[in-house]
Order: sequence, then C-alpha cells, then structure tokens
Amino acid sequence: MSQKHILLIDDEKHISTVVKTCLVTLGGWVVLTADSGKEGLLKARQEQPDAILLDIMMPDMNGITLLQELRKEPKTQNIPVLLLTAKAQMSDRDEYTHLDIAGVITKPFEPLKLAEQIAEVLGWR
Amino acid sequence: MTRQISELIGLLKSDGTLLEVNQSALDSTDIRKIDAVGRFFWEMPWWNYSPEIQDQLKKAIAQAAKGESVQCEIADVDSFQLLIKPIQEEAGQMRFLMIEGRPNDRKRKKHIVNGTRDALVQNEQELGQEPGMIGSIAQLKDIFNSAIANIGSFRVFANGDREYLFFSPGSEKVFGYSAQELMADQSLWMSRVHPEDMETIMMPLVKRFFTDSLGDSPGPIEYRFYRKDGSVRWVSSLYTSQPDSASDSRIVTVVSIDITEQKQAEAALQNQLMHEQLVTEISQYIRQSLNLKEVLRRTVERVREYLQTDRVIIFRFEPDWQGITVMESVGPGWMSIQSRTIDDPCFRERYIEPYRKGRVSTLSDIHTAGLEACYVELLEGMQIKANIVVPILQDKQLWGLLIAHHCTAPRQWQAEEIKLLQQLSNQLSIAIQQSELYQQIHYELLERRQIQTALQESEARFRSLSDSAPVGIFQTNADGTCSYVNPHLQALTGLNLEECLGYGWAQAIHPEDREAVMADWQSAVQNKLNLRKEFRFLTSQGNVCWVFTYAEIIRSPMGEILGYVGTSQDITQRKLTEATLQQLNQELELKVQQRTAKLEQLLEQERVLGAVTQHVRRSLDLDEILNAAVTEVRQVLQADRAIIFRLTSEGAGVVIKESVLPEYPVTLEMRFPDECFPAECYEYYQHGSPRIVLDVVVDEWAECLAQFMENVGVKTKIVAPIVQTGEDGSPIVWGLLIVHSCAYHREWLHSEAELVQQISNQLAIAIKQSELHQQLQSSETRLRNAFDSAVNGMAMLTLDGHFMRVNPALCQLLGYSDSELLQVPIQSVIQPEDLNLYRDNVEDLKEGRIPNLQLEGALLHKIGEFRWVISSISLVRDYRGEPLYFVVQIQDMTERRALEQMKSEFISIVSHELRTPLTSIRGSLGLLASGLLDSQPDTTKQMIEIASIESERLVRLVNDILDLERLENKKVTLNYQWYSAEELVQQAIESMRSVASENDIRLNVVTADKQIWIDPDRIIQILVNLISNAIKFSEPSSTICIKAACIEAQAQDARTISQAERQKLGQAKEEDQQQAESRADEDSTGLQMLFQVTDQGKGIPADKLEIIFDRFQQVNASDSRDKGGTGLGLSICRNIVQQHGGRIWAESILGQGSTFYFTLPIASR
Repeated sequence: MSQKHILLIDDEKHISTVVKTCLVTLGGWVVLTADSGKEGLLKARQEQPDAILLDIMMPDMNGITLLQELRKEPKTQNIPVLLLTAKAQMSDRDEYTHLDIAGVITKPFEPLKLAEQIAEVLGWR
Repeated sequence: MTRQISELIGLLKSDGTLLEVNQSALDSTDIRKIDAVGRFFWEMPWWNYSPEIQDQLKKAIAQAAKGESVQCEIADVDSFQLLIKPIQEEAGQMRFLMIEGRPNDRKRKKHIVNGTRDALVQNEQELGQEPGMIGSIAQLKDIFNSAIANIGSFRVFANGDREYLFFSPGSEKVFGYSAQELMADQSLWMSRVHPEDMETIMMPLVKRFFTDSLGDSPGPIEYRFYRKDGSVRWVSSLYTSQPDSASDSRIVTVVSIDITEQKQAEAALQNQLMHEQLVTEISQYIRQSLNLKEVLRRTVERVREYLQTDRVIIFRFEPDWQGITVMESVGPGWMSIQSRTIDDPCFRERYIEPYRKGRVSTLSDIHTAGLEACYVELLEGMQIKANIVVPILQDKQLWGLLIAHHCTAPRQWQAEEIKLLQQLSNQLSIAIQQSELYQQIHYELLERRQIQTALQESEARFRSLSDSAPVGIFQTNADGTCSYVNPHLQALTGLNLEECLGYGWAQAIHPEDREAVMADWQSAVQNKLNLRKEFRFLTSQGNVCWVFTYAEIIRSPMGEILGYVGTSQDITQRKLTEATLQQLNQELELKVQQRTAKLEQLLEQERVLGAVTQHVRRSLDLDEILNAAVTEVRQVLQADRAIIFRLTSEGAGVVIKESVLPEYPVTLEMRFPDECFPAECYEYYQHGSPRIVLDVVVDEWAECLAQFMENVGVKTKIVAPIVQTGEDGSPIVWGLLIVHSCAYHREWLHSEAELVQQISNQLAIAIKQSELHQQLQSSETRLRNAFDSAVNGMAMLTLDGHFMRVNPALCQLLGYSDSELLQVPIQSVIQPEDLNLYRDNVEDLKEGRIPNLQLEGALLHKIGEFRWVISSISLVRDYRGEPLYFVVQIQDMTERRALEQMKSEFISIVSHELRTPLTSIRGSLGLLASGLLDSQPDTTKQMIEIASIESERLVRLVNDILDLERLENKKVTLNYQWYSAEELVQQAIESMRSVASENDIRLNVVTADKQIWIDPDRIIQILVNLISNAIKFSEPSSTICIKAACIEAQAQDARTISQAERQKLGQAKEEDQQQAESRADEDSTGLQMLFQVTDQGKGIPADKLEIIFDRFQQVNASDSRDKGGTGLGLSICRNIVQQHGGRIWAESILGQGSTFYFTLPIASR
C-alpha cells in the first residue's frame, strides 16, 4: 500500500501545524495543507489526495461551499472528506447529516488519537 | 200482335201447349218454331197480352178440350176469328186440338178454306181418320202437305211373318232409312227399335194384327229408334189394321212421325217446371217463414236435390272478408264444411270484387279452368271438382254466396241451373232482408213493450207517491187549467179534487195574493215558462197557509207542451221563522253597529298603542319616540294638546315634548317650580295609575297650576305617569304624559285614561332602553378602544375562520387594511404546514376538549414574509353552550425570535471562537506531553509557542466576552468622575506608544482640555482599542491622528445623525438607538466631547461600517488571528459609549483610511 496523502484545509495556521504534526507523526501520512478554501480547492484538484480534512469556518470560502465544489468535479468528487470543525453545537451537527462526507471530527480533538480516528473512519486499517 | 198475320193454323195439346204451327203465322213473330213449341198458345205474341184475351183463350181451349168445337173472336186491334176443334183419340180421349184463325174478313176466309180442303181430303184418306174430323183437317192442306213429307208410314201383314208391304217415302225422314232399304231388309225396321221400347211397340202391334176394332186402339205409341246414322230419335206411331181381303190376314198400317224435338221440348218444359216449382216453393216458404236458418236449410237441400249434385252451401262473409259456411247440404260420403271458416287470401284478392258486382262463377272442371294453384288447392281441400258460385247481395253489398259443388266428377253446368241459382239467390236476398227486418221489428217491439211496462210502473209509482206525498202536487193542461191535485194539496187549499179542477183552485188563494198569482200564472202559461212563487192560501175555515209553488212544463218526446206539473210546499212555518229571524236580525244589526263603533275606537287606540310600542322596539332614539307619542296620542284621542312633562327634581319639572293644535298656546320648555308638585301627588303617580282631572281649577293636587291651566286654556285633562324602577327597586316617576282638552269640559273615559297610561308605560320602557343603550354604547366604546389600541393583534373570528373584526395592531402585523383583512380567511394567512395542526386544535376547542388554545407559528404577511407569532384563541359560546365565534389574540414574536436566534448564533460563535485556540493549545500540549516530539526540538519549540500564543488569545477572548456580557447586562458600575479629556487621550497614547513604534507608526494628537463627567478607565479602554485597531490596520510609516474636541451639541445635528443611524442599524438595535437619541435630545443644549481616531489604512467597505460594531464581526474573519483581535472590541466600545450617553460610529474611504468617532456628553445627568 502506497503512502496516504491527506489534504488539510484550515485557515487557522496553528491548528494546521498541530494537525499536520499529529498525522505525520502518528499516521505516517503525507499531509498537504491549504490556508484558505480557494487554495484548498486548487490543491485538491492538483494533488487528488486520498482524503481531505476540511474546516468549515473560513473567510473566503467556507467548508460547505468547498465540499459542494469538490463533489461537482469528476476529479475530486470521490475523494472522502472529513470535516474538522469547532462548530460542534447540537444544532450545527444536525446540518452535517445530509452532507456527502465520511465523518466529522470536532475541535478540539484528541491529538494522539486523531490519526487513528481518521484511519478508522476511512477504513484504512 | 207484332205483325199482321193472314192465317193461323196450329196443333195444340189438350192443355193448350203448342205442338205445331204454320210458318206464315210464325213469320209474323220473332219466335222460332223450336221455341214456340211447348209454349201455351195464349202466351204467343200474336195478340196483346191483356189478361182478358188470355183468359178468353184459356177458357176457349179448356172448352174445346172437353170435346166440342169452339169459335171465338179475339177483340184485339184487328178483330180475329178463331176456331178450335178437338181431335178425338180412338179411345175417345182428347188428345189434340186443331186451331184455325184468320182476320175477321169473310172473303179472305172463304178463299183460304177452299184452297186447303182438297189436300186435306187426301191426307185424311191416307190416315184413315173419321170423315167427321177430315172436314176440318182437309182445310189444313198446306200444313199436311209439308207434314206428309215428314211422316213415315208403312203397312205390314199382321201375320206371323210380319211381311212389310209398303214403306212410304216419308219413312226416310222418320227412320233414317230409305223405303227401299226398309223393304229390302224385312227385319231391319224391327231391329232398329230401341231394345227397351221393344215391348212397348210389340204389344199394340201384335194386338193390331189380330183385331180390326178401332175401339181398342192403343193410340200413338212413342218409342226410340236407331237411325242409320246411329242417332236415336223418338218416334210416335199410330197403328190401324184392316182385314186383307186377299190373304185373309190383316194388314196393319203404321203412321209414324219423328217427335224427338217434341220430346226434348217436353223435357225442357219439365225441367223448367221443376225449376219454377223450386223457385216458387222457396219463395213461398220465404213468405211464410221468418226463420232464416230454416229457409237456408231448405234452399240448400232442395237445390242439391234439384241439381243432383254433391254439396250445396250458403257462405256468409264477415266484415274482414273472412267467411263461414252457415248452411250446408251434403251428399252421403262427402265431407261436411258446415260452420267452417274460410279465410283464403288468394280467394279474397281475386274473387271478392267480381262477386260484389253480382257476377256468377261457374267451373266445370277445376283442373282445366286455368285457376291459380292456390285456389285449386282450396277447392281440392273441399273435394270440389266443379262448382257454381252465385253471389247473394244485400242492398248492393255482398252478403254471401250460394254455392253448388260437384265432387264426383267434373260437370258441365246448364244455363237453367245457373239461372235457377241466380233466382234463388235473389229470393235469399229477400229472405235475409226480411229476416233482418223481422229481427229489427222484433227488437223494437220488445223495447216498446219494456218502455210501456216502465211507463206503467212509473205511472203507478207517481200516483202512489202523489197520493202519499207530504207536498201538494198538481198537473195542468197546456192552457193552464188544472187537471189534477193530490190529496195534500186538497188539504192545503181546503178544496176537493172536483173543486180544484180548471181554475177552481184559484178561489183558495189569499185575496191579497190572488191577483198577483193569477197574473204570474197566466204570464207563465202564455210565455211557456216555468213558475216559482210563494203565496198564501186562505181556506174556507179561515186558515192561512204559505206555500212555495213550483210549476214545470212537461213536454212530449216531440217537444210539444203537454201541460205543467208542479208542487206546492207548505212553508208557513218557515215564513214565521223568517219573520222572527228578521226581527232578531234587526236588533242584532243595531247591536253590532254599536259594538263595531266601540271596537273601531278600541282598535284605533290599540293601533296607536301598537305604533308607539313598535316605535319603542324599533328605535333607540328617545327624542323621536317621545315626539311620536305626543302626536299620536293627541290625534287618536282628538285632544287639543298632549305634552310630556319631565320631573327634574322632586316636584320640579319642565315640558319637554308637546303636540298642540295651532289655536292653543305652546307650553314647550315651560318650567315649573317644585312647590307645584305635592308629595302625595308624586306618591300617587308612583303606583303607575292615570288620573282624570275633570276640573283643573278645583284639582286639589295642583292648586298652584290653576292659573297656568287657565292661561293655556286647559279645561280637563288626563295625567299618566311615566314610572321607572330605581336601583333599589323603588318606583321613580320619570315624568308625566298629559292630555289636555281645551275646547270644552271633556269627560274623559276610563278607557282613554288607560290608553294614555299604557302609552306612558311604553315610554317608560323606551326611556329604560335608551339609558341601557347609552350604557351599552359607552361600554362598547371602552371595549372598542381597548380592542383598537391593544398592542397585540386582536380579532373576532367566525367559526369557519373569517375575520369578523380586527384591530389595527393585527392589520399592521399582517400588512392588510381593516377592510382587506375582513375578506381574508385566517387559513390563508397561516403557513401551510401549520394548517392541519390549527384545524385539529380549533376542532378540539369547538368540541370543548380544550378550554382554549395557544399556538406558536408563522403567519403570512401581505408582502409574503412570515411573521412569527403566538396566537391565543378562545371560543365564545351562547347561553346554550353553542359556539358563536372565536376571540384571537396574536402576539408578534418575530423580533424576540430574531433575538433568540442571534443569541443562539452568538453562543455558537463564542463556542467556535473558544474552541479554535483551545484546539491548538490542546493539540500542541497533547503532542508535547506524549513525548513523541522529544526527538524533534524544533517542532517541540513550535508547539510550545503555539500553545502560548493561543493561550493568550484565549485569555483575551474570555476577558472580552465577560466584559461585554457585563456591560450589556449593566453589571458594570461606571465610576464617574470629572476627568480631563486631554489626560484621557494622553494615557491611552502612552499605553500604545511602544506598539506604534514597533510598527513604525506615528501618533499625532490634537486635544482640547476639557473636564468631562465619565468613567476614565472605560474611556481610556475605548481609546486604546481604537488606537490599537488603527495600528493593526495601518501600514508602517503611516500616521494615526487622535483628536478630542469640545463641540456644541445641536439638536438638529444630533437628530440627523440619529435618523441616519436608524436607517443603518438593524431592528434589534432600535431600542438602544432610541435611548441614544433620547440622550442626544437631552444634551441638545449642552456641550459634547468628540473623540476621533483616524488611520491611513486600507479602509472599511461601506456595508461593513455598521456591523463592525457587532460581536465577532470583523471586516475579515482572519483579522482576529492575524491581528490578535477577538472580534469583540468595537462591541465593547459601543457599549461603553452608549452607557455614557454618547455615540460611536465610523467613517471610511477605501484605500485612504478610516476615522472612528465617539461623543461623550460633558456632563451626564
């Protein structure tokens, strides 16, 4: 099995750094990062990662819009997407149920279990 | 006689039948000899057929037949002389008569007689006739000359050899063999005699051979003879014998003539006779019998017998041309078709019409007649081989058919047979007609008998009734004279029957009535009219009796007047009753008139009372009711004045309504002091009873009014109190209804006083109603005001959901006008998904399952927006508990809901904002703590920095959130003090100077030194925040300008700003804004401190200028991370400024920079 590539899209640079460190260290995956929605969409097209970790609250293009864009394009429509979001209220969670996503990971997450959580959701282990 | 004949010579039988006649006599007629032979001599047309001549001839011939010659003269046009002579037979029997005739001319007679004598003498000798006869025969020379040629004679020896001695030449004419042939073959003659007649011929012949006596001559013998050509002829031979001197034998002389034609004529005659007999018999029978069936039966039997045929029937047609065999005679062995109905379309189509025209049909052989197969089949079905069909006509209509059937073999029908049937058919027609007539007469007779019987019975009944009737009955002749009176009428008149007859009855009429009765009776009789009349009889005993008499014309069936029949009924009792009744009637009439007048008056009063009552019920306008009351009551009582006197306080009052005739003074609005109304009077009126005052001057209760009454011309009056019930139930005299008589001292009736009182009572009701109405109106007005000015939407709804009434708040809530909303059902303003819930709940409410209803949901605004509301619905029911309508109260929750939503969103944002730094902190610390990064010092360091930075961010955020929460909830107590504005700015700058330097930014300060009443820490917090933001968004080497100036707060400016702000601010901020505006107004006359911080940064888009003061609403969300902001700073600033009574706002030009302003009142109240 080749090494998994994960694209992390989040405007919070500190979070991106922490997540990347977690996944590289504990998952052994290649982690690509994007600081904005637009950049994330571009990289998703270019890199066609095995999975995408996606924040919702982003200034230029929020995660939900980005997800819709990904699903429109043949290249990206089958890439599994996990939401990584601090919008974790009950009312927010209801909104996720109808989205074409593999799962939701809420912020703050358990750093040592993040990679395992993702692998389990994506069936990588 | 057709033509003149010169001579007549003929041979007759003794009965007068013509056997032979001379040709010249025949030539004068058109009759052939063959037709003449066999007819009676007197029927021959030589003379006119007068009965006298015929009778004369018959008598002459009868006389001659007795043996004597008769001479007679026929007295026709020309006189004709006849001589009839008998020709005696040997036996002395009369056999023939010779007749000779000629016109009555002597010379001519002689000539004829002389001319014929010689020829006859010779013939006489040959015939051996007696000399006495010869004399006359000799005169018939010309006949016998021709006759000789036709007579065959021979002589034969009367011995056993029968040797024929001679055959005369005429033998050939008679026997068909020549004399020579007969002589040559001696046995020929005998062999040709018909075998059946051999004996007949032989006996006299043999006898003749042996006798010479003429006395026993057998006379002429008739027999049949076969001629040479095979034909059979009848021959008549006369035998005479005489001794033969030569042979001692006797010679028989036989003279023969051919009588075949005579025989045939006889047979025909015989047939005709039978034929006529049959017709006669049938016709006689018809005349004797009226039994048609028997006539028919006899006819068919006799016809069949006569025709010697197999079946004879009479067939009768039905109207539809079917038919039935009504009578039949059928021979043994042949089928009967009696009573058989024959309906054969084939027969009908082809044969009915000819029969109807009287045509006879004969068929000699049905198979050779060329008939249609169907007809042949029909005939065969009845075994018919030949037939005769003769129609029986009745009044030119085809009644039926007389039919003869021959079944044995085909048959050639004879003309006479057909003729017979025709004649019989005619007779049958007569019989049928006769029978029908008989039937008709029979029925008529029967009917007449019944009528006669009925008449007799009727007559008997009439008499019986008449005698016992309890009513007078009479009968008169056409002239009016009496012909009968019954016992009852006799009793009424006191006269007996005899006395009554004629005009006797008139004497019983009452003298006073008599003239009129008689005149009417005469008139009725003359004019042929019925009469009805009532009059009196006066009997001799002096009894008067009233009668009603009715006389009716009776007529014969032809319409002729026979007389009158009538009745007289005793009506005395009735007349007496009538008189009594009339008297009673008159009395009653009078009473009725009196009563009616009274009733009319009462009715009028009732009407007025009714009118006033109606007024009271219909109208709530008291003024109008009172006006109507005085007008009506004055008019109906025909009074001079009617007033309503209102008691204002005890005893005092004023005239408030008046209706008065023009000639009397007006009292309206006249006031009366209290002393005029004594207490006892008031108490009296409290009982609600009217008072009649017949003399106002001596009215003890209104003594003080006497002068007034005189002044206004009152003579008498009725006073009726208008009484109300007080709150404690005691009666209160509200006023008085008073009716005046001014013209005279009218004596008022109690009924009139009652009426006035009743009207007063109605007015009391009207007054009460009016008061209640006013109360109700004011109550309703209050309710309406409450309804209309309610903050919440309110409505009344019909049970099916239509608005009955809506208040302005609801109209505003839903965006409709009042009238528009009344057209809209509530269902159309409820959002569709809530409709079922609404309906279910309303149903529960109606059914009483729930007491009231509260629903939260969205209603549709006219412009299409939803307004979030809480609706409270309750149901109003009538006294029986039946639902009437809904009362709905609708509270607009839209703004509250928006606030709640904002709150929820705020929590969501706060949660997000808190979780974000926490995620970095937890992640980095988690990794560090796990030791996984121990071998990666750079990463470890990075993680520690992240944890540190994000921790600070979290602290700031938490502080700001708490700060803002305290400010918004007014939990922060501002520490007001007089403080220098300049000092405030300086302190803020000092705290920011190092940061500005770090970012290479200059701070330019311009301040006015002015003491202001503020919380300095909080104002410095604002300034620091604004300067901090300016630094964050400024490029290095740029300048930030901070100013503080004292300005005159102008009301207009302040308001303008306020309005501008309102437009920009969201609804949620409206309340805050109002507060700010209020402060601005308060300070309109004071001074304000205006602070401003201007940067040269990238600027703020116009649409963000307001919302940047909201929580977490940075221009760019990443600003909080990049610039270290929490997104709450400006919200906190605004809150502090507002709490100080100031205002904060921003102005910006993109790319050039932004200025943040805030004002503070110099001195807050």
